[in-house]
Amino acid sequence: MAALHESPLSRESLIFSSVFSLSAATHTTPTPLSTPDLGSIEPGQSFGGVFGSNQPSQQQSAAQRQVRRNLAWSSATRFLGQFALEDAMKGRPTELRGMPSDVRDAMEFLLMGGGCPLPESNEESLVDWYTNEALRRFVVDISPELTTKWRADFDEHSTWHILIYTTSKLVQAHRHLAQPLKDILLPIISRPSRRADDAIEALTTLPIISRFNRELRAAFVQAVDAGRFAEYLEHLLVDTGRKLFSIEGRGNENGEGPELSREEKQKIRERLTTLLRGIGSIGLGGDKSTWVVGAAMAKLLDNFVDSRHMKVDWYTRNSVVRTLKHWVKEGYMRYFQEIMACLEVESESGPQPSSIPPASLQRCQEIAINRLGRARVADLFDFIVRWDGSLGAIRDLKEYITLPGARVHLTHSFSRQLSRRLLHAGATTSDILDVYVYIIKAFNELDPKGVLLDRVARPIRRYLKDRDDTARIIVVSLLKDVDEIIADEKTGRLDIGGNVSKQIALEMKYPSAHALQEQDYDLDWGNMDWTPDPIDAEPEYKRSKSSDVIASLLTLYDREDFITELKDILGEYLLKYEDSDFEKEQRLVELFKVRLGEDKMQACEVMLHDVLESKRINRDINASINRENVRLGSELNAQILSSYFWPPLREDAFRVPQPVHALQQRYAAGFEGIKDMRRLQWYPALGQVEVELQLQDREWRGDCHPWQASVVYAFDESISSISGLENDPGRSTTPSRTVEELKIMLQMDEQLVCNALQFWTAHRVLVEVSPGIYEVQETLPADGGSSGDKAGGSGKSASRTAPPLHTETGAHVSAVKSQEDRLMENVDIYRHFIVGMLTNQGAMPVAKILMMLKMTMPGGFPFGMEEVRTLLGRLVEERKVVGQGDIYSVSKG
Amino acid sequence: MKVTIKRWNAVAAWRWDMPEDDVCGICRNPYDSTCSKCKYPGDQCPLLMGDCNHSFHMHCIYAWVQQEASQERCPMCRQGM
Repeated sequence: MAALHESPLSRESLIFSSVFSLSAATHTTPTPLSTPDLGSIEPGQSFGGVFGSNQPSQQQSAAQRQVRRNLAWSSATRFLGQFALEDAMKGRPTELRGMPSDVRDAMEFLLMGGGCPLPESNEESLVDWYTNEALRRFVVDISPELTTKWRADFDEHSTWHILIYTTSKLVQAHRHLAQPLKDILLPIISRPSRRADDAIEALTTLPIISRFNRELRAAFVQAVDAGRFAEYLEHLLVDTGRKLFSIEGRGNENGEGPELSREEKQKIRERLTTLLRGIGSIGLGGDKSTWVVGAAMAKLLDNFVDSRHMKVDWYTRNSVVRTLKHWVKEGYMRYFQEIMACLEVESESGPQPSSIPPASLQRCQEIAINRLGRARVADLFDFIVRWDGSLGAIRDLKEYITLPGARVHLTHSFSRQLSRRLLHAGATTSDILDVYVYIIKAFNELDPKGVLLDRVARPIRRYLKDRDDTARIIVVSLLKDVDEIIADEKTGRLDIGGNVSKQIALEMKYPSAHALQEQDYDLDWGNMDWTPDPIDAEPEYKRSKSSDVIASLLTLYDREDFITELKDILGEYLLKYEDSDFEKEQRLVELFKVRLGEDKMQACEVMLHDVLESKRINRDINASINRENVRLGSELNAQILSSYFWPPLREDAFRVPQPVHALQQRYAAGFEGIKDMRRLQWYPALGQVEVELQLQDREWRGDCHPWQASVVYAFDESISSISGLENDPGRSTTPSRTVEELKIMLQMDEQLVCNALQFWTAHRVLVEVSPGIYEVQETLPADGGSSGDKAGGSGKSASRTAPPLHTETGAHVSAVKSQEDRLMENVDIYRHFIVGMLTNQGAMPVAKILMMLKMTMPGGFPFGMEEVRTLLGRLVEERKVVGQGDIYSVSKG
Repeated sequence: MKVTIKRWNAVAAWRWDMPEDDVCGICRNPYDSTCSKCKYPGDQCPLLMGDCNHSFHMHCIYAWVQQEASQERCPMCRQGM
């Protein structure tokens, strides 16, 4: 019998016992039948029958009691030891019912009679023995199996399996082990007829059961790898939650396909409930798993916030916070309650209240909104840039910023994003201005009081102030037509984007000044919508009037600075676009008047008035001039400015062509005739001239600056005779002029002269025959030809019958050569550039290649399409480039 | 080459035919500017020159003359206007 009980103590159990000494130290196996320890009797005592009397007697000596107890102990433990856990687990019936009466008596003696352990002795009570026995059996029979099961590697898909297996195993074990206690020992203890011995505490059954359960559960916990159990349980809870709430997986690696149907969800729910009840009943739930549930729920919340349910609403642009709150209330909290209810089945705290306390619901919703808000704040810059499609995201944040700490977090995080992504040298000023406009709009939506905007905008404003082109861009953008910008964007023109902020231009569509009406918001006692300032507002916080976009832009600078800038730009604009009606400019001036004060805008108004007035004067004076005679076929229009109010203008003086000078004098006389006591002072460098050049083989028409017109006029055939360089006024000649000559002739700045010469060389009207000496290029050279004089002069130059003068032939030849020379000097650079550009950017038409060359070549690219074609032609010959029509690309051979 | 100037859009500034840098004796604004009440210079705020060759913005001198104390005399030299 002893061997029978000793053998199952395997090595593992021994190890276990050696570590957890509770069972090993005090546990005794049932006394074998063959060696009953009868003890000894004192002299004078009769040998009483072993079971002779169950009446405890005061006179009975301790030794007799000991003997009796030992006997009873032996028979009781032997009987209880028959119970085989393994059989029970396998479903074989265990015979415990047929309890012989002697065993019953022995148990009664041990539990309720004199066999109870004496208070001072270290005798073991039968219940304790059984508890230990149960533990031992569990450790021997069940635990190893579970331990190996848990020790094995398994992936997370078998979470369900292992948890269910463990739980059911433990539940079964618990039931079977508790059965003898409940069926045999407890009825004896609780039998009411029994008279309680004085020495024995009045035992009630409940503490015994709970003690037993506690011991057993402790053993269960030992058997299961606690860390992994927690891990699996957490995973299981999260996974189930995700299935129930249709939260898709991040990577979707396990192919969680479409949403589960209602029935499937119900099934999962039931399965989970059963499992959790099991876990609760075997003691793995309760306090131990609370933190597991907590972690799982936090994870689930995160998952939900990241899921498609909480995506920014780009279409209807509504907030998703309502959905979130509803989910927390109806889904999340219910799920949580369910889990906790299952796990705490046997907890002493009694049944959970079925309704969620409003405070904890609100707390939970706040946590959820906080998570959502943080997720939104992390991407706030991207949302701002995509305003106003991202209105939904901003609305989500509205709820978030009511939470404590949220406003600080938002401004802090957003400022960081701004400085990292926007406020650096890589962003153009117009980009920054665009984003600033978005920020103003978005934050006005977010926080109408403007406190957040105030904080966030400060670094941007400071940064914008430091950029020198800010004021210019603002004013130019305000003047720019939005439709024009949009059209330019479509055609992909290059100059737009760098200098104009589209958002500001758009803003001009609604320049209404509604900013002024809200001054006394706080003093309006009748206002029922009044709310106090937000908590993070400074004590004397006053909502700045910069709530609307234009106002905030205009307050970037001091008023005076802005007006100075505005004057400059407006003046430039007015002089540049002479033909328009200046509607836009008038609107802008009106707007500025409202914003900046009427008195400051007098100069701008005068400027506008001047240009409009000038048109009328032009008509009058020209009419009177025309009445006299029509000479030269040229028309003089003047803008008469009130110089006092205009920004300082360019005053380079030079001699305008004689006919123009005459016209100007006539015009001035006309003006003085109309306006008494006033005289005119011309600004020769300002304005615009339309010229028409008649060359031998072609005509050139176009607009140019007055000094350019003056320079080219100096090459006019009628002037050449005056200058005396040529001697045959009857012939069409090509006079040559040096820069010095021109300077003296026109009394012009060298800078202007050179600029004009460059302009005309670029248009192939003039040619630099040798350094500093320019001539008219009467005929264009034929491509590649050395002396294209006759070959090129086909069409219009047919009129030219006589061969040119001796000097001219040489000059002409040299002119061509010089042009080629310049090309040849840099040909390597050009070729290299072209090949590189075509390699990097793919095929390009000739016009674009030319444009790129002109833009990027240091020192400019003073040649035209033809030269580029020549260059390309050579590259094609060398098979570096392939040409298809007008489009060239790198040859891939 | 024959150069034809089709159109010449020039820019000019007008000034009162007065000594440079002189100011109206009443409002101390330059003649080319306006009196303190006007917005647009020139036609809308002309100058007036008295017999004594002192000039003022028209509005300035009118306002002066209408005062009792002025006795319709030039504020600069006290000659009758």
